[in-house]
Amino acid sequence: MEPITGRALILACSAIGAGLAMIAGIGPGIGQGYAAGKGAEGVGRQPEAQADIVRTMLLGAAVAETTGIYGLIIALILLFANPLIGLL
Amino acid sequence: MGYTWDIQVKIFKYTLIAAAVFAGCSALFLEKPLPFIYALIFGTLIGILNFRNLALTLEKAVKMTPGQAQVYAGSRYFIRYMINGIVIFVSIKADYLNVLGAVLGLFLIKFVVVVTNLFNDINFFKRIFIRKEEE
Repeated sequence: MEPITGRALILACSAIGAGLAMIAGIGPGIGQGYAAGKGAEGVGRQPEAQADIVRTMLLGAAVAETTGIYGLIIALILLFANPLIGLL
Repeated sequence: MGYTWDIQVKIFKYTLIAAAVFAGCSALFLEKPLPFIYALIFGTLIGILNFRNLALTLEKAVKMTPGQAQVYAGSRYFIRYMINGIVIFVSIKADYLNVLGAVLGLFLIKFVVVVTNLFNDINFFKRIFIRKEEE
């Protein structure tokens, strides 16, 4: 059996790390869906406040997306521009 | 144009101004500014389009039933997530685009939202070091 090289180990661990980092993208999706559902409930209860509800939700949702993109960047950098291989 | 159009235009305007400031600073301080500026423009434009997509999604979602709105907003989020992924992937692979520029461009609109809507009250900064007991 061939021994595991340092490069192969780093690539394997990076792939696992990228997979774990992608979990961060699920949270904002669930949260945004939940917020939209609650927004729809709010508009149903108070239709005259629709503009205020959507405006507030828009700003909140835009900022909430950021954390998912952080995870995506980490995953893509680990997969396609891995800085750890250069350390070998 | 929908009832969020005025707030969208305001945020787009500030984002473009912020991008121009960053591009000017990079032209002054970086050795090779062109890849950074190209990536900044690319990221900023995609960020603006994503924000517009988010506004359209939410305007439509609030007219649905809560269950439908949940599924609709969640599925649209993953479309925007994929678009962001493609932008970052392209900026990593292309030599003429700087990754940091693209990431900064994508996040610029979020910084603008935070600065113009949450930290726009000068009293917040005045009160920041005052303890509750002293008030």
